[in-house]
Amino acid sequence: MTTRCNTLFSLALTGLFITSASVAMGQISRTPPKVNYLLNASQPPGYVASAQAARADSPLGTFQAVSVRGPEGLQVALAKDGAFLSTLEAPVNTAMMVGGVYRLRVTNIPLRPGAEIYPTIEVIDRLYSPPGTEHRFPIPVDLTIEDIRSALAGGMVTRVIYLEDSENAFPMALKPGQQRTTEVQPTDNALKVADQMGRPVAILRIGSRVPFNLQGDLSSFLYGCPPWLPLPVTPNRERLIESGGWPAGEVKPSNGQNYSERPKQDFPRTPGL
Amino acid sequence: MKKHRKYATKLGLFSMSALATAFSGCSLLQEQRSVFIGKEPQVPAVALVSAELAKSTSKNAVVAAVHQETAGADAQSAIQSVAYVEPAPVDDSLDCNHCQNTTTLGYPLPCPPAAPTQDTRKLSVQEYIFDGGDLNEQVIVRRDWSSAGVNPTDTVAYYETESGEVCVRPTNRVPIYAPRFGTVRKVTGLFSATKTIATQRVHTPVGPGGFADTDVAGAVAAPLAAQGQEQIHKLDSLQENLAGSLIDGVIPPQRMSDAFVPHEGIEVTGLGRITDEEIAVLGEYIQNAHAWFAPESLGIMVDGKRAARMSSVTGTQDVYTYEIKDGCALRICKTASHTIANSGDKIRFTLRFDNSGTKPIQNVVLLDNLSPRLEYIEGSEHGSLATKFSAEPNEVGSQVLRWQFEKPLPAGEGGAISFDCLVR
Repeated sequence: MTTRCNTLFSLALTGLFITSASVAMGQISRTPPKVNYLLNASQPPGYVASAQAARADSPLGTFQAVSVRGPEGLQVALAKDGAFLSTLEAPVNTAMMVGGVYRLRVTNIPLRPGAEIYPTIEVIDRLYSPPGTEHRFPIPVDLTIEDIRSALAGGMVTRVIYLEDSENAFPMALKPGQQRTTEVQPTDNALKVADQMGRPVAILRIGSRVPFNLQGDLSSFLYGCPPWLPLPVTPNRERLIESGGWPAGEVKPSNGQNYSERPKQDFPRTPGL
Repeated sequence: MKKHRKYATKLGLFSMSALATAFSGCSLLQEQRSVFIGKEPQVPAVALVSAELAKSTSKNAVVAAVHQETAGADAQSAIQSVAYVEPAPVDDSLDCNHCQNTTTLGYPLPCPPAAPTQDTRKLSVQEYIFDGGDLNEQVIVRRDWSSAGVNPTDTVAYYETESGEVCVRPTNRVPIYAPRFGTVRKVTGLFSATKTIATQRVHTPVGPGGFADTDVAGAVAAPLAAQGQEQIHKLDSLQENLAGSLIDGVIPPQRMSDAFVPHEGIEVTGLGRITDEEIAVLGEYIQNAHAWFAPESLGIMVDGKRAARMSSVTGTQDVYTYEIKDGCALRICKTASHTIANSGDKIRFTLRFDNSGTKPIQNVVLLDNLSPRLEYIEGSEHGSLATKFSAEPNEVGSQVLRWQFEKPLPAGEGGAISFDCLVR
């Protein structure tokens, strides 16, 4: 009888410990750290985004502007309703939903006539742009000719796009549209490296996988065909100069007129001194 | 119970609006069902609701809110009722015009709103370039009039008062939204996926042959006692504040052509005056208006409102004399020409400084330790006073800009300094 009582007491004590531990773990799991060290960019598309949904402050369900860029003449097609739409010339600006995996169809590759690739973009986080300027700060997804050639040669290119921490940024002047790239070894975790350098926001995967039949059922190939919204191209100075909407030289203010350097800037026009 | 019913109506409306926001364009609300948890004993569940949860929505429990009623004589027994509203069933027949709403891994994707949401705006500090302020408040001034503790993105001014006191004043902090992206690239293939699994052989490391004994210090030299103490009489607090508070006749910036830049075309930058009409404009430029006001200064409030100023020709009835300590009285503020920017853009910063005290200050030094995302454009620095300017590299790959005033700054006078930076 004594042994039975001791056994019951031990079980009750063990249950108490398990309950306490589970409560403690539950408290910890409510505030997961803002890193993805347990995840890997080599995991299947959608895995990292699914893990984002478990976070307490998950940005899932919001739209984020994404700009797909590439060499001149590159054609990009987005998918809707289970099929690819007609192609658009890069850069293609869209608002993609955070948490979705988007399959693209890329054609008209320079010096590779007839070749096609089908990269995926996994949007795993968002930006917090000032209201009204969301379309002006898209996540840049660059399809470089080097990556496309590596994919066509049978390689698998994974690019983790991260937001650089401004206070610990690499002190290098970049041109508009230029991106700093860090190469890692095939055995390294690109997502972890990106976590250490900033905040990962998207994962681009370029391989040579092609659908068996473009007219068939592509629902699994398109990862559920998540929704997207079209966005207009943000005019920059180079494009405005090319289209004649902005003078090529330096703008000098005329007498008595106020002058703002950026045409779309929302500055109050205060009188001069 | 009537009170609870009153809240039921309010919370029902609140939850309907929240649901309408969450599912706008995709679903219809069919019915609302509310269960209250408060003083009602028959309700067993307990919900702890925070303000964050009250704003958020989820699949099962949608809206929760906390109300407190403190009106009337029943203020001590404030009613705290928590509403738990189950979500209305979503009409599945109204699809979002997309082929599937679930990913291949099985988790559901919520229906998208019709437009990018405008509700949850969080300030992500990684996306901003900050310049100005003193982040850690650890700036010290050495005897040779150099400084330490000025971290990157800090902007401070330090000077010496007439009584010998050294003052350090930071500027306000200017945020500029300029996110920059980078990529981590990895190429894998059949031939490149080699990996070392384990080492075959481990050499035994050879340890050091010996350690040289080091004699520790056997005695400590006794420090010399101070031979004397020099006492400094601070006369600031004893003198009467006779200077006018309004600053007139301040030297405007010499470079009038640059007055066309919008953020410099305000009266504060040019003349050092703060007018009521421009406070809102200033708030947009500096995003941090607290540096403009001196809470310790004298003010008259009647019933929580500022007293109106009246002038009269009658004689003075009462005279009050206030002794205001003339301490660190340099007012300095910083503005930027842009609030958003991209890599390659040019931003002009303007520093406006005024000696709002009653005595001149001397050895004024302005320091701006730039962020690694900012690069000073050579030759773009201009100022309204004679200064010695230098730009030295800092520890984060940018520059530290330093202005040393050649002459003391008299009481009631000020000026402006501007410079351009390239956004990296």
